[in-house]
Amino acid sequence: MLCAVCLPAAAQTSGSVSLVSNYLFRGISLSDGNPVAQASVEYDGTQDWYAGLFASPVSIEHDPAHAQAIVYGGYAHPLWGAWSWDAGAGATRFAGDAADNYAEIFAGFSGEHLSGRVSYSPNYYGLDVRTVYTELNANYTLLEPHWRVLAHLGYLHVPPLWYATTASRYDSRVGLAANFGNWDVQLTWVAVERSRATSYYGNDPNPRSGVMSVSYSF
Amino acid sequence: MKNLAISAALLACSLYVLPARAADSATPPAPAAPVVPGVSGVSGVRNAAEHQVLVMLHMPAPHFRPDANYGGRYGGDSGHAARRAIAEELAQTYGLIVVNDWPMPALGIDCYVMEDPAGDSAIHLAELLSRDPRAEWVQPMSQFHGLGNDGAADPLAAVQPAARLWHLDELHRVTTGRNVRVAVVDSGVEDDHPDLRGQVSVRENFVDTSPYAAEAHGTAVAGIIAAVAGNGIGIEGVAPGARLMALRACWQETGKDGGKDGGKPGGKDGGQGTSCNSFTLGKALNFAILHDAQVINLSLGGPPDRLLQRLLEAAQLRGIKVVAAVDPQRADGGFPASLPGVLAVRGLDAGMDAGLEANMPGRVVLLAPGRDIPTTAPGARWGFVSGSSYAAAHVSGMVALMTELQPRASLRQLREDLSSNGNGASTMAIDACATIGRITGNCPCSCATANASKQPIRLP
Repeated sequence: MLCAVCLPAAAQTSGSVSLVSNYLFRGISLSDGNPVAQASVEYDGTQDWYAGLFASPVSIEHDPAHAQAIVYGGYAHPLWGAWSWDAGAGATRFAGDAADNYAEIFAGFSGEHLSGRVSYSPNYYGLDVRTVYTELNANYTLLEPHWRVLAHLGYLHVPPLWYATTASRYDSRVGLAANFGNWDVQLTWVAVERSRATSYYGNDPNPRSGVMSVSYSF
Repeated sequence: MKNLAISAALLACSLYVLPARAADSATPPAPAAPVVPGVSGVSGVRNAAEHQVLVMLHMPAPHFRPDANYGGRYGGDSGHAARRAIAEELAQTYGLIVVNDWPMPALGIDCYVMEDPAGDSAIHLAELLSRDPRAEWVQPMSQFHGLGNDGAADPLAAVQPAARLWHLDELHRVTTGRNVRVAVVDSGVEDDHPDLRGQVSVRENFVDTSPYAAEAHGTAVAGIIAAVAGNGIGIEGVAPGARLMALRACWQETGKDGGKDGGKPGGKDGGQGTSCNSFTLGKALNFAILHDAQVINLSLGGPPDRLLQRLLEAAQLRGIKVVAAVDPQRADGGFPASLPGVLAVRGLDAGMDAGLEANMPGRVVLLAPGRDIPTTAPGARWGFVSGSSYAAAHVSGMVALMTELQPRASLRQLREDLSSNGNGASTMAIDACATIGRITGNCPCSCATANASKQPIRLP
């Protein structure tokens, strides 16, 4: 397989490829409502450090960007029981339109059923605007061992600025996930506050969308 | 609308693909109910736990992941798949099979159970695997045991008076009454009671007015005589090797627990007991004689009866040993206990009418445990019983033990073996060890029975 033997003890490389019916990021579609294939690779080091790369095609109205890559890294440490915390930073790059590039730092916690994160960006989507995105995620096993329910609630805080074509908004997601071996299938319903998300970097957001995704992990 | 159509299409495709995929995967990756360890390994190796090791892989704490799968859990994220792949690689390197896995966030590890189909010892495997840097640590699968009492012993034996007084465990090393046919002429015996399973070889009903039913008195008597020993439940019978003939000639009155009647034969306590009559008993005794019973237990009493007397004399002529319970309410001890050829029994602790012995001249009444006896009860239960009925059952068991050793001993010989003194006392507590000692020539118990002489002692 990969360099499992080359790496120091307990270091692990993992990855996944996914097919999503609509690339919805914080409630907004980055693929213009179209399905895309995505991939990610990740390295978990021995001293609780991690780093990864994520890539996806994008399609944004009035925007020449056609692909997105996120390079990220951080530190995750167990707390007690099933709880752990992590903190890190990520840089999002767009191929075709470097003007959209931005960086973000984040910190969060994770437990068996609940996780949360706060992300701060000083230049969200290349704009001179400082945003804070807060999110809470929940998952619950519906039927052992394959079926889970998922829920997500996020809030993007955007300071009101004349050139920012968006305002702070909520986005939510609820759905069902099924896991069979290395495969994971999710069917979720995404909702976003439409009035506050109009013409955000181009795409006319759908207040409610169904998203289906199929992933294979390795 | 377009989204929905695409979603539906993707869903349809995945449903088609996934079940096949799930069937392909040889072992369940998500935490599943663990297989029963040690009983039968995946590879079919006997006592598999001795060839199983636990391989711990480092499991990083959950963290930010931008892919579609992120949901903050341990099951479906890509980290688990990667660890699974590492475990499979490790297994392949050392020729093992991955049996099971369970993530343990409490320690930050993912625990994999691996088994060696070649049967290599777990300790050796653990040593070998420990040197591999891919595993955080490796240990053999260990076995643990509950620290309760020995599972095979009959739990109620501890409170059985016979177990203590008659040293049943030691006696049973010498004799169990193997294949001795003991006829229990009584109310119905629950022959499918867990502690009586396989002990009843014949079951007959001689009561015309009701069908065969499991009843308290008969079940209790049967249990005392021949309850299965060493099956880890209930009690051990005095003669667990005996073959019981459950001859239902009596019936339980008014559905109340007959065991509570104090074992009074004949049911004199207001209709709660066990009742029989000359006809039903006659039929049962006739059957017992014709079917070669070796011992007949009659835990009952009543007025003198010509039919029953004739039948019992016929039985004695054929060498059948008859054991009967003494009725303390009757001056003569009740019939058939009053018959000379019958072994009359009452309980050790029972208070006796002073005049009773006087009214049973020349008779030796045997004493056996008859109070607070744990025994089988209908409904697959056990209960405590008291009364001369149950003392008689003890003696029937004792006679069965003796009969295994001396099948053709006469009644006289039997009485001689049972007696421990020649001073003419009219009651005699049975010393089981001494009795068996007299028959075999060796004292079977650790009891020091100085009186276990080999000379038969004449009864007055």
